[in-house]
Amino acid sequence: MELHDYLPILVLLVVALLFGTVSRGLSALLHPRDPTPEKLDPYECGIVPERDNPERFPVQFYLVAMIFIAFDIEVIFLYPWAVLVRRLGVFGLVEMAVFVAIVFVAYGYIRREGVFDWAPRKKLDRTLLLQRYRREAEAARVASGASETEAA
Amino acid sequence: MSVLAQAIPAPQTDYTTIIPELIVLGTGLLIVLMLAIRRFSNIGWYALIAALGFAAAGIVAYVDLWPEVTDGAATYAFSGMVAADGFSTFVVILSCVAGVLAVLLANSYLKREGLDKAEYFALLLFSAAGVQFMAMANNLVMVFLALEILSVCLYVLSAWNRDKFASQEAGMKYLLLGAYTSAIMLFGISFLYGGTGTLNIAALAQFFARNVLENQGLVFLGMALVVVGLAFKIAAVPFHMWAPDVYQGAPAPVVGYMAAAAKIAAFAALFRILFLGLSAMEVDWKPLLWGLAILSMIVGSLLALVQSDVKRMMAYSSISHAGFIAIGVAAASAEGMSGALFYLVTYTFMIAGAFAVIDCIGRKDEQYTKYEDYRGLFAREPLLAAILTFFLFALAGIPGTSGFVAKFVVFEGAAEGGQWALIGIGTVAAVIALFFYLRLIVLMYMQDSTERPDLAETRARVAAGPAVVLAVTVAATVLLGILPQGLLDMAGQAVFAL
Amino acid sequence: MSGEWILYIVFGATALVSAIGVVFLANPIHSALSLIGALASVAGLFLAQEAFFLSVVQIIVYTGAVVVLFLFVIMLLGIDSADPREEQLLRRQWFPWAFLGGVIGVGGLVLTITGIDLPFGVSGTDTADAVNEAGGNVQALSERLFTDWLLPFELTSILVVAAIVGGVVLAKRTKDLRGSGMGLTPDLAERISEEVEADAAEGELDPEDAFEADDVDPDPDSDAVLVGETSENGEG
Repeated sequence: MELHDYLPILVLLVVALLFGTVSRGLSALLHPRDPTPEKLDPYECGIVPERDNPERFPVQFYLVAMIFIAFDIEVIFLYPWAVLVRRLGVFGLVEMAVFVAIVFVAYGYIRREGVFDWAPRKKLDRTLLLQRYRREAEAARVASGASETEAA
Repeated sequence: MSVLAQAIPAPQTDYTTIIPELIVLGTGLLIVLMLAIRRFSNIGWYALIAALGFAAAGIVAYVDLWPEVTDGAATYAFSGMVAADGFSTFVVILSCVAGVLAVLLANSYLKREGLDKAEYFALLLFSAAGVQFMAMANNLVMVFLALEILSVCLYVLSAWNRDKFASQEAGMKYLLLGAYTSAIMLFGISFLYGGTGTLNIAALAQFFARNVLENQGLVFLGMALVVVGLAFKIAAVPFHMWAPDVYQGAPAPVVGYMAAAAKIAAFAALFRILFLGLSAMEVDWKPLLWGLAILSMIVGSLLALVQSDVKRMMAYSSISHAGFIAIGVAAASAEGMSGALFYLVTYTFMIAGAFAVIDCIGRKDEQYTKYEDYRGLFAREPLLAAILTFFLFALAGIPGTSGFVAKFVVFEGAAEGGQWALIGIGTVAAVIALFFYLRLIVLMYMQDSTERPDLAETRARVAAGPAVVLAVTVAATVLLGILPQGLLDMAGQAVFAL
Repeated sequence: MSGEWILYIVFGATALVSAIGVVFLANPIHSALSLIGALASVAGLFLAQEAFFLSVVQIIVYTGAVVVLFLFVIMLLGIDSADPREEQLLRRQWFPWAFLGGVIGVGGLVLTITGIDLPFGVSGTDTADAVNEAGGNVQALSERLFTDWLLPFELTSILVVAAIVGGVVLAKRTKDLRGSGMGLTPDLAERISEEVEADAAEGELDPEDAFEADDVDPDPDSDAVLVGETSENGEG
């Protein structure tokens, strides 16, 4: 692999830059200026927006983005391994299996923590939670007296 | 194409050298795996698993590895990534002890505050593994990686009480400043690599033995930046800015562990990099360590005088202790190094014990940590006040406690190297330190109209875990103060063959 | 002037300009976009060094993922809610000192490095030979990574696990009853019970609720089950 193999990427980069600047520049030069409030509205898939954007988003988005990076790193390691997988042989396979297994533990953890649960299941969950709570409260009542728990 | 089709031989691996680390890491992963399958409602189980993991690792290190490594020769494993020698094994054992104490401290705290999530113990185990790999690391990238594992866990643990603003602030500040200094250290490592062409610490020494550099600029810059990165972790002045806020905001059991663990890890890395890798540059790094030691002792002691929060005062106290330990590095001698190791052991016990008391007195939400809350403490909590007094005396270095022996051996190491100025300044700092510890002690025994009747109604609760920690740490502090010889011998065996 | 030099100067200049843009642009989104420029330029610098794999990783991880994370944060915090006065204050207080520190730092760097006769271009030959021998950049890297660097490689997974666990435990509010001990209080259970019954009387689940985190709990101080953050129930 030599540096000049990357020439097409450079060409693409230049073309992309040119396309962006030329089209922006041309439209700035040519378009008629006649702003109306409707034209300046945020564009929401053609539907007239009913309310403002929410000021803050659920932290859920952030968690997913963060976990994406973590697994991104894992995949980066997989690539050089895949390139040499035959030459690395069984030892390489075991190495990578250990690596993936360790990260997979974390995957199981976040799965269990429900980081990926995005479905509108609030009320469903609440019902289940409530059932669980009642069951545990009942169990606690039965077991009470066995031991004084520490001050809450 | 024949070369390209050849199988790559499996690398040299020697798992026996890293068994303690594997146990600690495995226990941590086990906890995460258990959480992935099913969560027990009582975190006591996880605490038990974590404590057993630490204990097993410590025992393996002591029984299995220690007898083999005390002859001074190092075993290099994993293509020279890690070194198993007396030094690393000593630190591994120490980190396991710190880990057990941390688990005992945390269990009751987490339940009391309603923060009982078992992830705490997993992160504790990972961070301890970070400490251990830092002590073993014979490669600058390993040092960095281990430091990151340790730091990431400590950032999260500092912010553990995440509904409390101070704890959030502690975690955030520690994260931002810590990430920044990690980058600085990485920068330094890259300069060292650029200047010498190797990342292996033992190979660095060989490079300096074979080559005479006409201009040391690049290597010096790399060394200085690495020292800066590690000085941040030990909270040495002028890289101490984070310590007061983090110590004050983070949960007391976390601080009791972090103060010791971060110091153990960073000093371990400093010793290996400076004493083994860059011993040829002694004239260059000695003044840096000198400056760090003197500034930390003086500034830490002086600023501790004017504090009004116990945890904040302990932060400045820990800064000044970092200075005392740094004397052992600045002495650049085997005696100084063994003295610093001994100091780290005693400090681990003292700080864990002191924060156990602070945690108990702080009660729910750690609301009573101001000096005002300690006024007249002896009348309300005679036993806790007495124990805290004992630890403060030990930290001040009163004869009869391990703190005195620790300061003595560090000064002795400096005296061997003829560093009389360091000793003089250290003595002055120790006297100033005595003042700020005494200030709190006097307050505790004071009985006047402004003492806190609102606190007198209920007693502070000492749960089983902290009680055990207090018993162990008091015993260790007394024992090491009276009969330090056994540990001194161990520390003597742990130093590098210089 | 070799091709490497041209690439170095071009990408070095864009990296510098974009980095300055990150600091000085007023709009955080523009700063983040400028950061993409800086990181992509660094990828170009790697390319000039013939570190092809590193260059691609730089693009994938930094420009592809890390900056996206930054943009998420900006989005989460709400760009409108930033108080410009605070920023002004911050800038006024710290700027001279930061500038001074930067000048001293860069000056020190330049002075130390220019004082050294580095064997430029010579030290690279080892690497080039190793790469040719291995049959390519990635191959050479892979060979080292999975033999000599085995332990650091495996430890990276621990770092990733620690980061994931730490991130989840800090960011996610699981005040559910899956035995975390951070369970519902009797009060909260009572309230949820009422809500559930009311909803059951009303009819079916409303899908829109999934993104309205605020309406679950009328009292923002008590950490109720936040919508979209409740997890699958252990009992199934």
